[in-house]
Formats: sequence, C-alpha cells, structure tokens
Amino acid sequence: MSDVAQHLVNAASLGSLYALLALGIAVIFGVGRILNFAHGQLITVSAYVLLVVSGLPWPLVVVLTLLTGVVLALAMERFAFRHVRRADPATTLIVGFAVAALIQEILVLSVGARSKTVDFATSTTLPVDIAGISIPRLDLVTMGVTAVLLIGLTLLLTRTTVGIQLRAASEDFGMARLLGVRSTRIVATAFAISGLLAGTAAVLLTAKSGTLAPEMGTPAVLIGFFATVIGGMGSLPGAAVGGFVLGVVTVLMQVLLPDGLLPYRESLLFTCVIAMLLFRPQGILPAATAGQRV
Amino acid sequence: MPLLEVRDLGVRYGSVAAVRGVSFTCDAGEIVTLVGPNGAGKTSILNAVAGALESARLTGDVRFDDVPILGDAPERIVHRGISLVPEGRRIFTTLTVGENLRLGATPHGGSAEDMVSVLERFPILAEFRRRPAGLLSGGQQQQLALARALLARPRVLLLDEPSLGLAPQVVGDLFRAIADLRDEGIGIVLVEQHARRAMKLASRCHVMGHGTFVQGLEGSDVAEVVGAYFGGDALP
Ligand SMILES: Nc1ncnc2c1ncn2[C@@H]1O[C@H](COP(=O)(O)OP(=O)(O)OP(=O)(O)O)[C@@H](O)[C@H]1O
Ligand SMILES: [Mg+2]
Repeated sequence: MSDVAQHLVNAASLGSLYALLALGIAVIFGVGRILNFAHGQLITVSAYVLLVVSGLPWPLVVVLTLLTGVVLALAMERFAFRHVRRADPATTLIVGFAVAALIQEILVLSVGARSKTVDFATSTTLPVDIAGISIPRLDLVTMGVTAVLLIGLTLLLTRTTVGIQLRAASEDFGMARLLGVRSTRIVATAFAISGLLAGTAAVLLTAKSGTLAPEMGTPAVLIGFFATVIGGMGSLPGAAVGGFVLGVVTVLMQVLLPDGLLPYRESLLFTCVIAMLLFRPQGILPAATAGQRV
Repeated sequence: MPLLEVRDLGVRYGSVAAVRGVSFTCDAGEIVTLVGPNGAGKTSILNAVAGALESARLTGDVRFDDVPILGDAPERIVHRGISLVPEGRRIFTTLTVGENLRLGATPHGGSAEDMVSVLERFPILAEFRRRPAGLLSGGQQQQLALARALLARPRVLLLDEPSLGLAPQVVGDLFRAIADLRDEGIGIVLVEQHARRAMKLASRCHVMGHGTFVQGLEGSDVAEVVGAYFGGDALP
C-alpha cells in the first residue's frame, strides 16, 4: 500500500516538473508561434549561475537563478527572435537551434564539458514522514512550487490586463494588435514568463540531481515539447496537463515494465507521443485557434 | 482638410495588384461606403488603412489628421483613433465578453463611463458579460465586435461587411446603430453587400470594379445610382 502511495508521489512530483517545462515552451508558442528550442539553454545557464552563487543564502540563490532565466529569455527575444517575427515557423525554429547551439558552445568553452556537482539544498532530499509514507522533501517542494506557479499564472492570465492581452494574442495576434496591444511588449512578456519557468525548473532539477552538465537542458526541452504536443500545441492548460500525463506515464513505466523492457522505456514513451500525433494531433486540450478565423 | 484622406492607394499580394490607384476621403460625422463584387479589393483597402497589411505591400498615401499613417503598425493606428471591425468579426472566442470589451479599451486604459455607455447601447452584452464570447450568436458577436471597437474611442470606424450573416430584422438594428454613431460625430467607412441600405446612409459611395473605383457618387446621386445599379425599386 505504501509502495503505491510512494509511486503516486513520485508521479505527481515528476509530472509537476514536466508541467513547468511544458508551460515554458507553450507560453511562447501560444503568443509568438515560436518553438523555442533554446528553452533548454535557459535552464542550463540558470543552473550554472546557481552553481556560481550557491554559497549565498538560499533565498538569494533562488532569486538570482530565476532572474538569470528571465534576463536571458528577454535577451533571446530582443537579439534573436524579434528579428524574425514575421518569418515563417521553419525560420524561427532554425533561429532557436542556432541560439541553443551558440549558448551551448559558450558554456562548454567557459565551464568545460564535464559535469559538476552542486552543493545546494541537499537537505531537501531527506524524507519527511507523512501518514506513514516517507516523502522526499524535494518532491513536496516541487509540487508546492508548481501549484503556486500554476495558480499565479492563472491569476495573471485571467485577472490582469497584460494577462488578458496575452491570451488574446495567443488566439489571434493580428486582431490583438488591431485593438492596440503592443506586439513587442506582449511577446517580451511571454518570454519573461518562460524565463521565470526555466529558472524555476533549473532550481528544482539541480536540487534533485545535485549535478550539472552543459547538455542538461536538451532532454528537458524535449520533454517540454512532447508534453505540449500531448496537451495540445498553444494551449496553456493543455501544456500543464500534458506535462503531468508525461510524468505519470514515465513513473508508471518505471514501476510496471518488466526488467527486460526497462531499457526501452524512453523509446516506448516517444512511441506514445508519435501515436498521439497520429491519432489525436490536436492534443488532449487543444487551443481554440485552429479553424476559428473566418 | 479631411479627417481621413486616402490618396492613390495600392495593395499588392506577390505579383497580384489587388488595389490600384484608390483615393477617397472620410470626414467626421459622415458615412462613406465602398461597394463592389467579391474580390474587388474592399477588405484590402480597409486592412491597409488600419495597418493590418505589411508595409512592403502598400503604395500611396494615407493621412489621418494630415499625419501620414500608411505602413504604421496597427497598434499605433488604433491609438491615433482609427478602429477596424474586420471581416469575420474576429472576436476572441476563448475570452469572455467582458474580457473582449476590456481589450477594446486598450488604447485608453478603459474608463468605467465608457464601459457603462457601451453596455447601455448593447444591453445584451451586459447580460452575457461573463460568458465565453464564442457562445454568442452571430448577431450578438457583431454587437460585441462593434462595442469592442467603440471602446477605443475611435474618430474613424472602418466596418467590413458588418451585416454579414445577420437576420433582416437585426440588420435594421445594426444600420440604426451605425447611423447613431455617425450622428455622434464618428467618421465611418462602410463596406457592405447590402448596398441599398448602405447607400441610403452614405454621403458618398464608391463603386469598385476589380482593384479600382469605377464610379464615385455624392449626395443625391447616391440615391439615383441605387436605381441604376440595383433595378428601379424604391429603397426599402
Ligand atoms: N492574403 C492574400 N494573399 C493573396 N491574395 C489575396 C490576399 N488577400 C486578398 N487577396 C486577393 O486580393 C483580391 C482582393 O481581395 P479582398 O479580400 O480585398 O476583396 P473584397 O472586395 O473584400 O472581397 P469580398 O467581397 O469577397 O470580401 C482578391 O483577388 C483576393 O484573392
Ligand atoms: Mg472582403
């Protein structure tokens, strides 16, 4: 019984993390129709900044890491994506690849290709006992942080002017502009939110694994892409749900697959994503834009 | 000096010249209509004026208050005082009616009085304020699109086939609302398939062929051409 509870907690925690990754990608795709492949590098660079400042008091470490994500995301928008705003999706995708590769190279040249260990929030891996189940504190923190971010994001999107503008721009960017929504400001806002989510993911990922490597962002961004595809491209609730589903399925496979099949876990997961694209390409909670334009 | 002056406007899509050498003006408190067959270029003209087309496609000169605006970004143009109610209405279906209206007020930040007066004009929107706008009927969506545009406090309104898909009774209400706006001093450029009704309101009417104006009519001529182009019937 307690085993099942343990797996549930694992699944919810991993699902939360994946939801953050997916949301970071979906918020930019929704507004700018940009698939930002360099989202992974936002996470990596934030994590390395965390390593550099990890001697400071932890609240300061967290703030500086989040700030790195936001500033770097804004810089990406300003210096790369803004110049291809009117280009077709293939062009922006390639720009994303280029930005990702550039940051990756700079990282390898400046910090080396080998992975490093970080001494940050190690106490959070210690378990606490709740109702007879021992739960690593980090899992609780991950779920709690995700819940707070989801609620915060929901409030932002539904209660504030800039949030309503973001949702409007996601549905019909051209019409939002015709009503006076400033395109550069709204796209930059989306990038800032995405950077905040990347910084948060960096904190959680580093606390979880205790190690960093220059290529750590790449699997993270792939997971984020898959989760947005599963959830429905361009839909924020869809991205959150897609992330959760992907996390839960990953844990389920870990638990249920016979030992012989475990090595194929990832391939099975990717097969599921492809099947999803074939049979329900609009995702679980599709965005409302498709076909709406008369 | 007219409020809105379009001079020798051209719009190209690739190698296709959709609009050529179009000129007209619209003053405060008047209705100018553009009529013509499908594909004549009416929507292209309104989109060009509102800033919805890339500036590379555009030639000619558009002045608002004697300031050149052709090729400006749409958000700048609406801040200046020109609002477009586009073809197909393009309300945000996933947002509530209230959120759609709030977006309309973007250029001025939105005052409570503006909102109250718009909701008095379109009471049905007040009733459905919290509903997703996608659930409104076509006529209600048209009211929302118009209300949303008014919240920007436009001095010139560009209306692209506002009556499309509406029941005859509702079309009557719509045209009355448009006449009221004119009487309140807003300049209106109206593209309409209900040509007779539109011409009846208009102080000037431009008939389009493919890409250009083939005839321009003023004052009493407008009524006359209704007979010439649309048979001898009196206006409804
Ligand atoms: N985005 C576009 N790309 C290429 N051609 C276009 C585009 N938009 C319009 N056109 C072409 O430009 C011409 C004018 O189109 P426009 O929509 O302005 O006509 P319209 O007078 O509004 O027609 P309707 O009465 O059917 O709405 C048409 O031949 C159309 O095919
Ligand atoms: Mg048209």
